[in-house]
This record gives sequence, C-alpha cells and structure tokens, in this order.
Amino acid sequence: MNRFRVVALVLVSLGGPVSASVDPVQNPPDQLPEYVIKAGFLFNFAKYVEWPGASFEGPESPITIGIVGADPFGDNLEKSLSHKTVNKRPFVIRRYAAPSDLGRCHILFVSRSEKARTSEIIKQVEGQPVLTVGEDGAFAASGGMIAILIENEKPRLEVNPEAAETAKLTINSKLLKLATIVKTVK
Amino acid sequence: MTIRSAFADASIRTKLRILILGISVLAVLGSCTVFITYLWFSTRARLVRRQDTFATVIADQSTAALDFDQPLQATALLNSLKAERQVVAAAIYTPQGRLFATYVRDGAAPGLIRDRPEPDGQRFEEGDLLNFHPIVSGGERVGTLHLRSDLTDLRDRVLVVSGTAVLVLVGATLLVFYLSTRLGGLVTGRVLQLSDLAERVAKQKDYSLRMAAGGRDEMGHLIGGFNEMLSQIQARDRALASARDDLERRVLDRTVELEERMSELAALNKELEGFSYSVSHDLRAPLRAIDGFSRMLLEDYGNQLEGDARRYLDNITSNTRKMGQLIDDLLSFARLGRKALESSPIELDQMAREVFDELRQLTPDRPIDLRLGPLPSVTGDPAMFRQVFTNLISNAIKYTRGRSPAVIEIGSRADSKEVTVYVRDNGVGFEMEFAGKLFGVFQRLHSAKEFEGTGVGLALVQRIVQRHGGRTWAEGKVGEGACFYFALPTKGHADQGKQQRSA
Repeated sequence: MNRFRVVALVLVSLGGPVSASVDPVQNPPDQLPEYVIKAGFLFNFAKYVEWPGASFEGPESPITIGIVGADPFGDNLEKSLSHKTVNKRPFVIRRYAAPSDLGRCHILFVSRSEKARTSEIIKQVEGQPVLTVGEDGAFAASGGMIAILIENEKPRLEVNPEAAETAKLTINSKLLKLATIVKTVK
Repeated sequence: MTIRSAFADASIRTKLRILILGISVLAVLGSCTVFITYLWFSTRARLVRRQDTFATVIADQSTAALDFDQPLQATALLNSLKAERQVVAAAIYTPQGRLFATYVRDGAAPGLIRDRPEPDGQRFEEGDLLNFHPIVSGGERVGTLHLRSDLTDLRDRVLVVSGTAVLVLVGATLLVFYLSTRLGGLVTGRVLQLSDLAERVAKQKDYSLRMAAGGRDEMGHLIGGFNEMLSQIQARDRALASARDDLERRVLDRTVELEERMSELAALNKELEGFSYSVSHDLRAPLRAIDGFSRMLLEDYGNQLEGDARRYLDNITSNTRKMGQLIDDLLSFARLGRKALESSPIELDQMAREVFDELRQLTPDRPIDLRLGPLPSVTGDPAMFRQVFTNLISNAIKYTRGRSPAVIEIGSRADSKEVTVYVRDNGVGFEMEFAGKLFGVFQRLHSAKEFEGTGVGLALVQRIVQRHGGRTWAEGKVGEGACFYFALPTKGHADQGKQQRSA
C-alpha cells in the first residue's frame, strides 16, 4: 500500500502543471476562475512587453513578478508559471505585503486590497522599468500601465501606453490593438 | 475501303493538305497541352505558396487575441480575408481544439469549417486546398489557424486558356487550309498538269503532246524525262506503223502472185486431163486396127502360117487386148474427174448381192462362201458404187484363187459420223507396210502373171469414195487374207466431207 501511495503522489506532482491549463469539459475556458485567467495574462504580458536590456543581469536572467497587497492568486500563479519561460527567461515570484516592502521586479501586480494606495505605489516605481498591472477600473487612468478588467464574465484590457513609455517599456502593437487605450488623468 | 488505301488513292494536292493540316493541328494541340499543364501546375503551386503566406501572417497577427482571450478581435482579423476571394472559410482553434473564431465567405456553406483542428500542413481535399497552421506565441503554441481555399480561380483560368487554345486551333486550321489551297498550287500545280497530260496521252494515244518545260527542280527533271519518253514512243510508233504498212503490201503482193499461180495450175491440170483423155482415146483407134488386122490374118491365113508365126500372132492379139483394157481403165479413171455426180438412194446390200452373182458366173466351178451382212442404204451415184463393189469383189475372188472354200465377207458398221463398209477375204493377203501403196494408179503388189489386172481398180475405188466425201483404207496379213474398207459420212456430215474434198 505504501508503494502505491508513492506512485500516486508522483503522478499527482507530474500532473500539477497540466491541470493548471484546466479541463475544458468540467471548466469551460470562458468560465475559468478569475485568477487562473489573470495568472495566464501576467505570463502573457511578458511576451508582449520589452524591458530595457539593463534591467536584466544576463540574457537568461529570470523575469521577476511582484505582487503587492493581499495575494488573490493562491497557488494559481505558481501553477501557471513554473517551468515556463519567455525568451529563455524563467519566472520568479515575489510577494510584498505593503508598498513599503517593494523590491526590484519587472512586473508588479497591484492587488485590489491596495486600491487606496494605488497612486502611492505607482509613484514609488516611477522612472523604473516596471510594468504595473492592476485590476481596478481606475488603475490605468491613475498612471498604471495595464488593467485587467472582467466585464460580463469576459476579460478586457486597458493600457496606458504613455505610462509605459515613461518607464522605457515597449508594448507590442498587437497587444495595443486589442486593448482599450487610456490616458493618465492628472 | 480502309483509311490507308483511301489516303493512297487521294490526289497529291489532298495528301499535301492533309499532311500540313495534320502537322499544324498536332503542333498547336501539343503546345496547348504543354502550356495548359504547365499553367495548371504552376498556378496550383503558386496558390499553395500564397495560402501558406497568408496563413503565416494571420497566425502571427492572431497570437494576442488568443493570449488574451479576445475572440472578437480574432473574428475581425479573419474577416479581413474577404479581400482574398479564394479563401472560402477560415477558423482559429484554441490549443484545446475548441473553435475560437470562424469566417465563411459570403454565399459559402458554413459546413465547410471543421469542428476540430487536424494535423498541421497543406493538402487537397474535396477539391479544395486545406491548411492547418500552428499559432505560436513566445515559443509556445497557443492555437491553430485553418484556411480553406477553393480552386475556382484556377479552373476559370485554365478554362479561359483552353478556350483560347481551341480558338487558336480553329484559326490555325482555317489559315493552313487557306494557305495550302493558295500556295499548294506552287508544288502540286505542275504535278497535276503532268498527271492530266499522261492521262490524255494514254486515252488519245496522241504521242505528239508535250508539256512546257520549266524549273530546275525535281518536277523540271520529271517533265523533261516525260517529254523525252514521249518523243521516243512517237518515233517508235512511226517506225512500227511503216513496218506494218510494208508487211501488208508484201502480203497483198504474194496473195496476188499465188492466185495467179493457182489459176495457172488449174488451167494446166485441165489441159493435162484433156490431154490424157484424148491420148487414151486416140490410142484406141490404131490399136483397134492392129487387133482387127491381126484377127483377120489369123482367120484368113492361119492354116498357112508356121507354128512360130502363129504363136507370135496370138501374142500380138492378146497384148493388144491387154492394152485395150489398160486404155479403157485409164479412160474411165480420167473420166471420173470430168463426170458430174448423180445423186439417188442406193440399197447397198442388194447391189452387193447382184454384183457378186454376176462375177460368180465367171468361175462357177470354184467353191466360194459369201457371207453378206446387212448393209446400209446410202445416197450417191449408183453406177459408180456398182463399180466400187465390182472392183472390190472381183479382187476378193481373184486373190482367193486356190482357197477351198474361198470365204468373202461383206458387212458394215456405223457410228455417229460415218458408215463403214468392208469386204474381207481369206486370200493371199499383203504386207501392212505396203497398205498405203494399194490405192495408187498402176500400183501392184503382185505380178500380172500371178494375178491378172492393170492396177487401176483400187485407185478407181478410192477416187469414187473420195468424190462422195468418204475415205478408204485396207488391212491385211500375208497368207491370211485382206480387208478393204470404205467409209461414207452420215447425212449430217456429208456436206462437210464433200467440202473438205473439193477444197
């Protein structure tokens, strides 16, 4: 019996990342849990955004994703990103409980819990090559770069190219095309 | 008639035209086939490349829509394919194989889209070109693009080219026909003229016809040769005609000459006959004087003559009698040629019986057995036939002297052409090698001492039978007897026989 349990465990651990891409029969993609979708988006943003070369130590240095505030992802983010690379760069996840904890990262996800401190957080990383991603309707207008919104159970993107440009980040036109362009409201 | 022999019999003009037409049609057909085949394959290859290029571009453009779950964006992207008329349908599938976005050309059936993606690559299916193209984003497969193009454009283009080819073919055929009609005369004109001339020469036998020479090509040589041949034939024809005229003249000359000779000969023959008749006749008068005076000398002075003198006188009278007999026979033989033939029916067996009875009385003491078979009745000169029987039967009696009994058999046989009468005896006979001589005048196989006679009898028989259109012959064996035959043609053949004789 002991032996069987070990095999089962191995199978489960192997199947871990696979189950992240969700069984379509039980959970149709358009009804995926919100944070499974958002975790996928965070990964995908890495494909459509170019950071200045100096922001990485080497060509295969990892992309750091930071989460500030209460972590809504649970283990979804790990599930989506482990073993994955973009342009040979793996992912590293950092969690910052408060804006004061912020460290160096490439993508910064601002949790809903930090809605009140959004401007403060944005100001804190201003001038640094950090892609700021939020989930609030006012995020992009207040200087955030990309907002992931869910409307009628469907994802919608808002992008503030101005903010990205200031941070010396290049957002791929393909992404710009399907997103709603938003300007910073001063 | 097979197509091959029909072609062989066709005129050179037709042959030339068929050849030129055939070659041009084949050339146009061949080049059209090659061109259409090339067009088909090259256009198809281009279509395949073009579709794949489109697929690559659209796949690249659709990555963000898949990455960020924006099916409306993907549908808008697919709708841009409207500009590409060959694409009938398109679709984007998620990595899970679910339909993400679709596009169907206006008027095309929606069933053209496959529910699930198929293996990557391009292939022809149901007359359409299908393409399943991977959509890759950041080195990761995020979906599948499907394009479906129809070949209507390709087919239309080939149809247009084929139609053009048919038009060109018809045009080329008409042009070749027109040109071969107009220009063919340059080649065939003189051939046809030569053929006409040859036919006219053959029909009219006019060897004076010539064809105008011209040109240094093969036709020129042929015409020259033909004219030369006609000249030779004409010369030979003339020589032949003059030779024929010469020959005719010579034959005519000879005929005239021969006719002259013939009439000369006939006159001579007549003269000879007259001469022999008068000689025989004139010889009789002095002979009769010799005979008469010899008898008177014997009667009046017989007693006074010595033995020898009396014997000499007896010799004179007996030889005189012999000479008289000779002259009589000669006269009757000569007369046969001059006398006209009587023609009346004769009962031959009755005549044979009478003649035998007469001759029998001359030697009543000899035992003679006559076997007379049935004889036919014929038409002819009775006096002459009596002479025939007299001569044949008297011969039989004469040459059976010493036989006891002498047997004389007279019979006949008949076939469709002639009746044959024979007189057979068991006398001394003769050698067959002399059978031909028997019927000659004065021809004798025995001396007059053995058997008396002048040698005219059988000659007379032959002459008489021949004048009646018949023939005579004899068979015999020394010591065993002889058989003499005469044959007369039957009614139907009588005239023919006479004509043969008189000719």
